[in-house]
Amino acid sequence: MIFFPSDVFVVMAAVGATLSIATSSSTQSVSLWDFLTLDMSKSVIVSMEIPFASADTVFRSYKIMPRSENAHAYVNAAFVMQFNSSTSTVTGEPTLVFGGIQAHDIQATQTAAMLEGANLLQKDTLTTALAKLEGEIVPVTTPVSSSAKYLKSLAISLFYKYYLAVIYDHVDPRVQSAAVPFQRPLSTGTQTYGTKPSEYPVTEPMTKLTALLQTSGEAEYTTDVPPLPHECAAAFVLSPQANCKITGVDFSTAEGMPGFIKGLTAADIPGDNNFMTMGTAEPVLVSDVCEYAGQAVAIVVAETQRQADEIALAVKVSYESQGKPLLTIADAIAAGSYFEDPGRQPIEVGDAKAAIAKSARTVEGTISCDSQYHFHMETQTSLVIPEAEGYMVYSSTQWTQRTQAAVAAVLGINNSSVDVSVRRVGGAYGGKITRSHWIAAACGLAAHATGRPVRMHLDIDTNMKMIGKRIPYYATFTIGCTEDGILNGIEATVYNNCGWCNNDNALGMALDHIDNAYYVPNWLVTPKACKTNIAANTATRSPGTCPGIFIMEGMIDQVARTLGLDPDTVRRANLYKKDQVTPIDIPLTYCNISTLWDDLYSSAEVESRKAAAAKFNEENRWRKRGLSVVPVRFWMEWGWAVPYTVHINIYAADGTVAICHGGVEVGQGINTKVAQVAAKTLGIPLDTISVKPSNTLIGPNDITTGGSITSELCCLGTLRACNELNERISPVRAANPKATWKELVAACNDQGVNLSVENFVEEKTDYQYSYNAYGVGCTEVEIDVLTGELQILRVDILYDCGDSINPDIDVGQVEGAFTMGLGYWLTEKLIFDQDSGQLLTHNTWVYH
Amino acid sequence: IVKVPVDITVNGRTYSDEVEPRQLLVHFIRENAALTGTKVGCDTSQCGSCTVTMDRVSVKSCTTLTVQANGSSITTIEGLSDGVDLHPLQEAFWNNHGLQCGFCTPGMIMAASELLRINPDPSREEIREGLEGNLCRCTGNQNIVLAVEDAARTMGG
Repeated sequence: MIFFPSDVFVVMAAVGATLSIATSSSTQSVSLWDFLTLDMSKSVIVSMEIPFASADTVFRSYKIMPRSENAHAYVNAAFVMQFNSSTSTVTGEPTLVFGGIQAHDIQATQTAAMLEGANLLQKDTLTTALAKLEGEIVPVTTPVSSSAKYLKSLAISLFYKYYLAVIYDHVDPRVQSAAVPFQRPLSTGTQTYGTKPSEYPVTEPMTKLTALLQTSGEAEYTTDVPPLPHECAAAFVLSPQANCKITGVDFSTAEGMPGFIKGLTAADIPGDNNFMTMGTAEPVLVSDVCEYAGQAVAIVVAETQRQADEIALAVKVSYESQGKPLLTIADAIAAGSYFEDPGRQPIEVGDAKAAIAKSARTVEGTISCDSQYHFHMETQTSLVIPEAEGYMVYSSTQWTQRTQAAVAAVLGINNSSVDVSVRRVGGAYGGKITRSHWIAAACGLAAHATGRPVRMHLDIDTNMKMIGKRIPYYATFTIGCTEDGILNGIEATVYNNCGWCNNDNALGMALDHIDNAYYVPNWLVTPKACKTNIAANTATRSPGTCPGIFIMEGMIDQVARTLGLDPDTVRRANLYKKDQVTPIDIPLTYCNISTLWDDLYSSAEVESRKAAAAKFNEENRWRKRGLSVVPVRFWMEWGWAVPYTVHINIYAADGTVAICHGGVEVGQGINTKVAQVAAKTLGIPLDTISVKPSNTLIGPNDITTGGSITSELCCLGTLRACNELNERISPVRAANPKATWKELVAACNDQGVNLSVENFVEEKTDYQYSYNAYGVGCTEVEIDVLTGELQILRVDILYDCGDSINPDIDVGQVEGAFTMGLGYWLTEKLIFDQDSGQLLTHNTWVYH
Repeated sequence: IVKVPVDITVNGRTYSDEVEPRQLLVHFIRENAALTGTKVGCDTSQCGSCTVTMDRVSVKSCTTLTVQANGSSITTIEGLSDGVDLHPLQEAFWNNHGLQCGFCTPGMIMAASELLRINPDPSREEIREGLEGNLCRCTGNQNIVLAVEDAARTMGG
């Protein structure tokens, strides 16, 4: 159940509006309060009448909501009173209306009665009113609402704000800010970077090659592939219960619905019921053991997507619960529910226990971070077409090779009989590395069963309920340090919530990054991967790394708080120096984090702004400002990554070039960067280069796109491939120094020079991680102490990216990532029903 | 299945068809008119990927019934240019890197088109308010605002 506190109602009820309601035979005037219980059958609202207010009326309305747009209120309120400003007394009885406290709006009638005739400048008027109101506000909560405590405090705070607004001229400046609504000022931004014109088009800021197509609406995503003859659609039927045994799937209602073609269950799978061809098997459709609410039980195939979606809801799934589901890390810890393999060995450097014991100060604490839905604007999508010799698969996927393997395995056919192609993906952020295979496999199954092309475009509800998301983390820690906050040793246990399956567990990466940018000589970090009854979580933009860094930053803050030190001082004092060795035994041969820190501290005027914030806080009881500076060190992990393949053709007829690489264009601009490198290396114009859709013919065994490494490695492959082409062309070039590119290419072809080349990018690095990217960010925030509303006043980010291949693209990535981070840390969270395990925050009305 | 006849003009071409009364306009555009530039993003009328203009007013086509559009003239992203040159908004989004994955872009541009029709010289605040019905996960929105500003300048606002 969701409460939807109407903003219109609260305002109009407070001003005493009435509705004119007509039936075919009569018209009546009804107060908004009576309207709540009026039988509206065969009736229409004809008009609303708003009475005129007197000149001494003070009206205010308030809405506190999770985000500033498109969200219903936590609490909304509207207040009306007649205030005699010369005597400072209230004339008559005020009207105080609150929404979001109970199912319908309420009026604080006792508080209003108490205020009749009261002198608002007398201090005990306010305290008495607040006490009265406290008793009248009795919140009713739902699983997706805030706590009763917060809702009540909001209601009281809003009344207090109104009170101050009414007597504003008499209010102490220190509390005045409470009377003014928390305004979100205009956002602005600037972007600064360097370029190397001698290298152009490499390092040249330029827009994406296909931006033309994308702005004209002609860019084709997987669902946009034109419809095929006899095409049909499919939808998943989801389990309504976590941790259960499926006892039956009833298609009887479904079969009678318009458009129904077939219902498919696990029994219809010709090959393996497993879309993860490496790691733990994950079923396409469950038939017995069902781990989580939202796991797919069946597929409905229908003539259209709308019909399939509707019919899927009419399929009845019967089940036997196997016990209360485990949903959170706390649940898993209490039940001792862990995966045997946490993903890596504990980190042990020096002797952390001894170092802590010998330290002047000991700091303890815990910290956690939650999940996040990828929210790619294009949901999971696939189209599978049966062909004479196999299947053609279009998939919104980051990993064509494993999508191919999944479809082949599920159908029990050769990989070589399955072709996968993806031109571009409408956002992925890790959600389409492994999860996409599931949808492709389901379409493959349906295509096999019907002999027809099958398309599946998940609606957002299904996508959110069925597919795993960002892995939550929780850490406990003990730190030994000096009086000045220099870190001697850290002992920590890091838990994460993999969901029911740990195929995409990134706990190892979290531990690899737990030091972030700080030197600590002694470590003991123990990983524990929790098993729960929720969807198998997956890679999500900086999986493992971001939470690991967050844990370290939390530890630093705890040290600063406990010791009463400025967190900036603690951070700066512990920053890595060049050639120091990290806990995973890799030396930092390049390390400029201290320089970046100092540069940003200066350019962002941190010192003076901190002083200004402190002064602001002194002068404002109900608004507070704070600044935070955070360094980031991010390992570039090539070790798991390779290979990527880059294939380049020069067409002899006109000298134009086609490139096909093993990465996938997911919005990160990889195709543009690859083309820039080719243009530069071959010395040809950008517009003679086409980058082709990624597919399984080129790079049959390439790794997934991800890890922030794909663009640079495919560019490396492009560079090497073009160098090889240049080598082949050079004798012909030497013999024809005045030839144009077209003439050169034609001549090469005549002489039997092979103008098609492939480079297999296989970087053997000394370590799993090849180098680091460093950055520093400073954020200033203001919060309204009474409501919890916050405003980000200013963000400065200084990022060392080396020579950016395309600053436009890279700046766009940083800004987009930062904004996604705001959602991660500030608003996005998942809420589950405790008994069924169902995801309650499964669409944009409740997921913020 | 009950079907109702409609005549809807999309990008200057009239489509006469019989549709279910409950069919959403976005599906009419994508299927009956075979114009896939308009996207389905969120099913909850929040994200704006489905934005088109209907008789010059922007609407979320996922929350408009096809039958409501009967007799109307719809413009989708594909119809924005004159067929020869890009519309200044399209050019501006391109030049200002106002897109990454591009999925939200058609809806973003269509919403901006009505914003600029009503208010040819919007302040940055007005641009941000005018686009409050459109979500973008990739860009962080900075460059989108710059793109609309740029387009407004080009269009002589």
